[in-house]
Amino acid sequence: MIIEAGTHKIWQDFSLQVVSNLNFGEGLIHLKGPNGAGKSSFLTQILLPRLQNNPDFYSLYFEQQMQLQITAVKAYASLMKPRMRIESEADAVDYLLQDLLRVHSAEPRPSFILMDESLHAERVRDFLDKNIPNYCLVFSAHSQLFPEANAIVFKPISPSLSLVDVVTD
Amino acid sequence: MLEEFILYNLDSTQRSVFIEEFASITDKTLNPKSDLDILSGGQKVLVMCLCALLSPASAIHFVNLWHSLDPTNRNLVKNLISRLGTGRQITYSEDKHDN
Repeated sequence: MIIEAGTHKIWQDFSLQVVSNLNFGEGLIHLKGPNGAGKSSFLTQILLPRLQNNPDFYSLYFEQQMQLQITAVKAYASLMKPRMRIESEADAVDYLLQDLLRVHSAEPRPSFILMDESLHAERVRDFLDKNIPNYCLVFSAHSQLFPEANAIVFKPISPSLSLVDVVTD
Repeated sequence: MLEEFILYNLDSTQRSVFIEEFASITDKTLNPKSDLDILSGGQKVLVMCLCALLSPASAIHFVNLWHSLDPTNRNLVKNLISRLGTGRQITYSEDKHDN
């Protein structure tokens, strides 16, 4: 999947300038940049809508503060069969991963997993390595979680504009 | 933002201090009607931290305070805590779910 180069308007007063086409294929992609540079907006306003509108892919998104997501997963898990009790963030993460595995096993498709400064990145990657071929894990983090990951850097130019570019070192 | 002001028991004076401090750090001016969803993750942490430090609480426990902050904002928050947290018991914990 490609995010085209150009200016992507995110909010009325904030845009992301993608310097060159961004290719999201298989592997690990680390979104880097300071707070407020647009990493979360890129995930939720550009990448996630493209994935959710494309039936050729599976997508899974772990939001930065999971409180609302946990509530939603709790409700969903309590209604589905077999019923599951979700007690913690880790439970919610595991439930969503198992859900991905279930649909992927029934009908394999390329899978995109988006994580926004999640505390669960390592366990998620471990699960994906063991269970899901052809996955792309896109994660934002302020630490070097996986040194082998390709990097996309967000650089604020002004309060209303950030540059987005791949790192080619 | 109003819910946060009420939740943290900030009076009108402390609300004004909050707005000034947040604007000086982020160049963003919030008001009681501001929607926090427009803030970045790091800025939300700043909101939480400032509200706690300006509240009348005698003890503050921060959970996962540093995880979503870049190095610049970590230093800013450390500065805020040392400046606004004096005379209170301040403790920290970090969840580590990956173990």
